[in-house]
Amino acid sequence: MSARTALNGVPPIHALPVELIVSIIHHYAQSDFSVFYAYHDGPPREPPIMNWVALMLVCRRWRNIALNTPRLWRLIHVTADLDLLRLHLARSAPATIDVFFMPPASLVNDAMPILLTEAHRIRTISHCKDIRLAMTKASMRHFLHVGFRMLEYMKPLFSRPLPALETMVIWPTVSAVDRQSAPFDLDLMAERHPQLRKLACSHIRLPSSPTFWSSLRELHLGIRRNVQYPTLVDDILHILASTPQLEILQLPDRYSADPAPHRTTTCALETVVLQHLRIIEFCGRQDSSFVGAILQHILVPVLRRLHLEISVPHDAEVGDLVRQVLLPAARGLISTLDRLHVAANHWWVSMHSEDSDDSPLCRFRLKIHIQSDVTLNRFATAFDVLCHALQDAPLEFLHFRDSCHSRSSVIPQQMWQSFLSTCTSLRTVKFENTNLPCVYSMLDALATPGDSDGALPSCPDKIQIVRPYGVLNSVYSHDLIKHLLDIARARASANRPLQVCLEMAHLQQQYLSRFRDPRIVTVSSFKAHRWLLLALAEQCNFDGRFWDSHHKTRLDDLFDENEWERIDDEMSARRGIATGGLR
Amino acid sequence: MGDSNRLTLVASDGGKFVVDKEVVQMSVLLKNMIEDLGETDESIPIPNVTSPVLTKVIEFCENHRTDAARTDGPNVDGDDARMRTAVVSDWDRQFFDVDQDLMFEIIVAANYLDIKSLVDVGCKVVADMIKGKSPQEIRDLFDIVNDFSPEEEAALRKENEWANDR
Repeated sequence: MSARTALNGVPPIHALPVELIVSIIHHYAQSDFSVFYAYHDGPPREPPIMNWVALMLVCRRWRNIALNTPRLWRLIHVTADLDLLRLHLARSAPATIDVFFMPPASLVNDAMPILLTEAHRIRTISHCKDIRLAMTKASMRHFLHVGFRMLEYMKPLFSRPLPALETMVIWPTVSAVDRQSAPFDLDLMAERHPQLRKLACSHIRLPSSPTFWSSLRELHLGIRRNVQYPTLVDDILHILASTPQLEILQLPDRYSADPAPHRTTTCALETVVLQHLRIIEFCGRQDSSFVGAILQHILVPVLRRLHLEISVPHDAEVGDLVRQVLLPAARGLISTLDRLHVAANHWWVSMHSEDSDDSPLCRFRLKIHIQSDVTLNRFATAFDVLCHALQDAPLEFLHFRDSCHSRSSVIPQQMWQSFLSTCTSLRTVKFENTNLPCVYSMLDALATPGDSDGALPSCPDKIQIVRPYGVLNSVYSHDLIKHLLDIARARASANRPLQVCLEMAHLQQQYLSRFRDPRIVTVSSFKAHRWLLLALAEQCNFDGRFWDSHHKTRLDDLFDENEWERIDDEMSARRGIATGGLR
Repeated sequence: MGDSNRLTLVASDGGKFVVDKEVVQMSVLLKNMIEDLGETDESIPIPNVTSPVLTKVIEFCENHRTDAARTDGPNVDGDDARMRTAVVSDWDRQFFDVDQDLMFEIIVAANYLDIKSLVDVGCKVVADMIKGKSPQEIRDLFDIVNDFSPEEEAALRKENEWANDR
């Protein structure tokens, strides 16, 4: 018997009690609101949306439930409509409220007398980013800033007790002139908002009283490069010494174009122990000395995520780049991390760890991109430093991208051997747009026994070669595939299996241009190669792929059904296995 | 003497289910009952839940028995935070790919048994089903009768204009 029958024809959704309808509406609303509660390097860009109110039009029951659920109305968007503000405040009572301001400042000024009467219910104080308004006719745009003037109008709120306040996002846009002035004083005091758990602020004068920070769980603090009022390492460490509950620390540096103040710590503080800190993010373009000084002075036993974006001087040697990104203080933390992100830009080499969301088990993926011509000598220095730096780092994925295509950028085989013996946790090496001599140098290292034990390198397990540079015709492609096959066989016989993944867009493009007929995109152009690919696939678990902008063709597509049947029969006869093994 | 790590649940239609205690304890209601009863071989009756629904509830609990507490994001207590972090996996969506009768019965049963994760996932699945739909489309989806008069509906639409007027 169905629920509907049991309920005499009443739709099954009406069987849900009130609290479940509330929960459904709340989940619906959460997707609207989530952007306002998840802090991603700044306040939300857009004012809040409340699409969920459309659900009140479904039926009388849903409308009554919504009207009688105060927490659904707790998002208070301060607009010019003061009657609406009063209505929403009334509907949200007695729940706590999340107040979002938006420019212009006059809106805040007008609404403040109404909001002050509800100060005891305020759970969140936040504001939108600057509002961009389209001007009429012309495409000129006008910005409404969240500046110091708007903060002046918000200030009365902070003079009242805010016993429910948990989250505060105050991140004004300051002009170049204001950036040189003293931080704005909102007169924050621990006694007025004792429950503060999350603080995201910039250009705000912060209290020195330890009690202000004692219950804080999240801190996002904009770094100032103000000549007179810079953010010093000591400032950060003094704050951290008062935040025993802190779980997330984010220190963005937005104004890297301004001169960097002297940031060397004179701090006499002992090491700060942060028992609950799980995430540290240094965003923007940070000085390595600033980051290093902070990391040196904190002890973080449960840290799981470290994000470092380091600014490297343009005239730095590439060896310095590596040293500054993989700071000694950070290296000591790597072994306990779930996720490490490091990034730095140099005028000819950039390196950053890649997002590993697609592979959560791979916690440290490093991408090195050579952007212009590099002499072997300079690169050898950098590579040597890299080998040394990575001794403590569980590097699992190395993505090597080469845009200079100079033979001088070839890393010698001995260097690869040294690198591979250092990075024993390495699982995958990916070459993208790399010249063939550089790839061959790495492959030869993989097939060469080490001096000490006479064994082949134990890692990596997988080589990805994406659009190798210089593979212009079938001779080069045969050469590459033969090389791969030789290495795979050598490693298979030494019980060191190697998975090879090859993507060759250039090959297809070249064939197309050679035939001078853009309509020829069928795999029949590759008949000479497909049998080689098949052989390779059989030998070393090859993930054969061709790719071009029009088609994605996999090994499956290289042979028609009749051919596959013949191949499978032959393999079965040869190896005594069931058919279909390769597909 | 039976296995002390397992116990028997009896559905409203008499169907019996032998389940690991660890799985059962995802239900706050049953966890409290087990603590009150102590070591016992007695079956636990679930009078408000039929066998087909109880089968699905147990399937969900067994699949989620090893779910660790979330460690990312701020450690803020309360329903809001729990709802914001509620994640519906592909498995969960597949799980709720059933007819509406059964879907709502599962959610009601989860609410009765106080299995918060199942209630959250169920309500989020329903919320996702109605996301982007007009009130009329939602009525059509769930067979809900429009009990507003045309005049009332027009007035309510006008009242809600602020939500679209940003």
